[in-house]
Amino acid sequence: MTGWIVLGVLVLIIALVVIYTIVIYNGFIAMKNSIERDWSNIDVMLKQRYDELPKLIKVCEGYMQHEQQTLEAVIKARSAVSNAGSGNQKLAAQNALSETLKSLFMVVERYPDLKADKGFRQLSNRITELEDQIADRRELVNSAVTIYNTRLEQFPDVIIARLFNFTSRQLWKIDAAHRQDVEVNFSRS
Amino acid sequence: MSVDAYLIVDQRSSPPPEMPALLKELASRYELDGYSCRQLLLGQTEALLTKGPEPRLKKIKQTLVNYDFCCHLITPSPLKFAPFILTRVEFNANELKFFGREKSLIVPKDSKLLIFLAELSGSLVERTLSQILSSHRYTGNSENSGLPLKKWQRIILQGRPVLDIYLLDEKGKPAGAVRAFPGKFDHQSLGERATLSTNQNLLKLIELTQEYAGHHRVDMRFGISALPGANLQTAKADDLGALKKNLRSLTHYAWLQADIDRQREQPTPDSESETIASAATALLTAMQPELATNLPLQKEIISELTSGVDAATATPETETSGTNRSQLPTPPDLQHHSTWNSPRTIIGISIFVGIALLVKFGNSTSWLGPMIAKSFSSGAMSGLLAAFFFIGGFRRLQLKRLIQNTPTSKIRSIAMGRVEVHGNARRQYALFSPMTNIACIYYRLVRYKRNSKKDWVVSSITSSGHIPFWIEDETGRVSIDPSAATVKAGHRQESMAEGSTAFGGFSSPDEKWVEEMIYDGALVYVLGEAQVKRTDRAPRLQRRAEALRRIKQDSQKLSGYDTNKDGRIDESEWQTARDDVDEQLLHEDLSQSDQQKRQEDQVVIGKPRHRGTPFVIAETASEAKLTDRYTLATAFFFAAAGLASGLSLWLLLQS
Repeated sequence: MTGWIVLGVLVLIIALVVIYTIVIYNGFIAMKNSIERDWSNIDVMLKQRYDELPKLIKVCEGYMQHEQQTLEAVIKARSAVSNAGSGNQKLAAQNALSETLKSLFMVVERYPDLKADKGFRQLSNRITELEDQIADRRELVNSAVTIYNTRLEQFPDVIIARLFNFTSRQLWKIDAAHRQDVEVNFSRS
Repeated sequence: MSVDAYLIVDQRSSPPPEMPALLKELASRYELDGYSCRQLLLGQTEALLTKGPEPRLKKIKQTLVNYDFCCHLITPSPLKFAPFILTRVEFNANELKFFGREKSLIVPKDSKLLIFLAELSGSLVERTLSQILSSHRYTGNSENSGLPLKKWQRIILQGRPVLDIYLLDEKGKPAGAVRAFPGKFDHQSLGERATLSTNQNLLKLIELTQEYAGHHRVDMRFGISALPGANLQTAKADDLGALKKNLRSLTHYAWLQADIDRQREQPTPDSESETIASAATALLTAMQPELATNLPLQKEIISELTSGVDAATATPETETSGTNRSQLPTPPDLQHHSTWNSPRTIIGISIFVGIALLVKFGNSTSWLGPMIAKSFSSGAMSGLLAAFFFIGGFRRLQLKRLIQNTPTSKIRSIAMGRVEVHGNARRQYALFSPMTNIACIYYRLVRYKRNSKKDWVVSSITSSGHIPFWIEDETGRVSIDPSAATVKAGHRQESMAEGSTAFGGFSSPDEKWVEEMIYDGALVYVLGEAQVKRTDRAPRLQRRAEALRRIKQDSQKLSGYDTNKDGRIDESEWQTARDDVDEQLLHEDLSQSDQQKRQEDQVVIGKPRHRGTPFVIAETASEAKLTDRYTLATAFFFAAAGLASGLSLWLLLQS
């Protein structure tokens, strides 16, 4: 009789362990795919921003005859995005594009007529909106990656992770240059 | 930065005959939601009707005065201090002195005082008021006589009472305040008044204070008045955070009362003449969701209170904007669920049928009897039960992990597909819970009747589970379609509602109802699938083709593109037309985007398309609290499964 009891308990425990393993394994797969999806969703926003840029430049060109350098920088940064190969290159190109856009919007301050242009206002609002959404989605990716990496190190998930070779993912990191203090000079040259 | 003024109304116990006209005027002239206004105007305490710029509120006030409503337009004073904790008192013929650890307050004879006796746990107030609420319907119950002061005092003392005493200066502004907890001050310092009961000592302290007051008012309405920032939330005994929130709400309530008293044209009623509300409308805010911010500890509260006021007033602001934004449409028809297919009913029926079969055929000599008896004695039935519990446990475990593994999105940027959002729920329709008449975004009402054996049997289930609502965070708001969602409501009320025929025919002690609801403004967690809302707007490609077709059909327009005037549109000329159409569509889209910038117009979170994917809506302050609930449920199911498995094994071995 004792043998049967031991056998029954063992079967029960094994069943529990197997099901729990399945739950954890499926969880890892879902998280992994979710991170991929979140990255792709950023690409969707980046693509939308990319598509809006020629229209913005077109509107700006009419007003900013003397700012060809700034506009060319935006066009160049946009081309760099489409030519970028690896993930890191793409990231760098996207960051560069964001920077040139910021410069463009700063320069626009000097052109009240352009600022008052309805088309420009709509486009700049749209691009700002996209920038905000991109930032939110990057935060989301980081949250998803953090949860995933935490799970990888937690018990009992760590066992399943090692058994099935789940490896940790990289958080989205900002360029080192963006971490530096901004130099502010109040003295007039 | 200008501070919004508050328009506070003295509620009326019964609706005046011209109420419909007033509501219509409030809706048409000031865009105030008629349903919410009606609730706020009826009762016996004060309620914040709306807030905003003073000129606008003055107009609304004038309208209300025309309809014989007494209202007060106040600019809330910033909280400058919180009461210190009383440790002992001293008194002589001329003054009464309150001492704390580091502070003291001297109350000279004939001072102006405001005294607040309040209950901090919130549960007693909620329970007592639920009885009153049962007989107070949306139509307004003028027959409710309310609770006498003494009874209300007794209710407060049964819970976690606290006494706040505010000394007012000549202008009626708080000049000092002290807070007394029962048993926490030296009762011997009360002199001959001291008793052995901590609660009685609190009442004696009130008596003593009243002796030194020239003009005073005792207020016990904290928790039932509908004033901003003065919400009383239900707090468990060990939930210090919630108790501290209630303490801060009490402080805020006291400051508001001082503001209101200053604005009153007539002297405030004496404490003896007061009765406590027939408070269905007042409970609206008494049980509103907790503030999102954490409260500082009592000792540090003073330094942080001023900044905290903004947080405290933030909730009512959004509440007001949520309910009074405009006239909310009437909700669609209700959903009546058949009672037989709810999971609980199915499990109940299965168990009942099993036991009935066992009783009936257990000793029978036919083939059925031994088979049923065998299924029980061999452990097969308990084995099935164990399997059921195991599956239930794993499903909950899986859901818990899914909730933990899904990051929370900001509403502004939610992507299509599975999303998790957390924020305040807001009504899209003028939805009220049917029994308690509280503005809510979801309710489920189950009615029971006694059968011939005096057991309760479900007679009907009604829910608002198909009525969409908003969820909003700091970045925006999005529509939620709760159809087919697993809804975890945070509040549940149960009543026999004896004799209240106004409730649609409940007049018998053999009937009862259970109402679950999520209040308007509650913090809600949603895990579902974001989808693009179906709109009447055609896809861009289709609109582009349509526009090009129109150009083709319009010879005048077409000739405009014939730049070389050869009578034909060549490829490059047609490309120009295409570019023009694209630009025109872009401008249309952009202006559309300006109008429909918010997610609310484009996205809806609803039931996932794939079967088996969860769709959860839960009223919860945080995701962690929700997962804790699932952890408990999982543990329960696994424990039950373990027991059932053990029983099954034992029976198997016995047989």
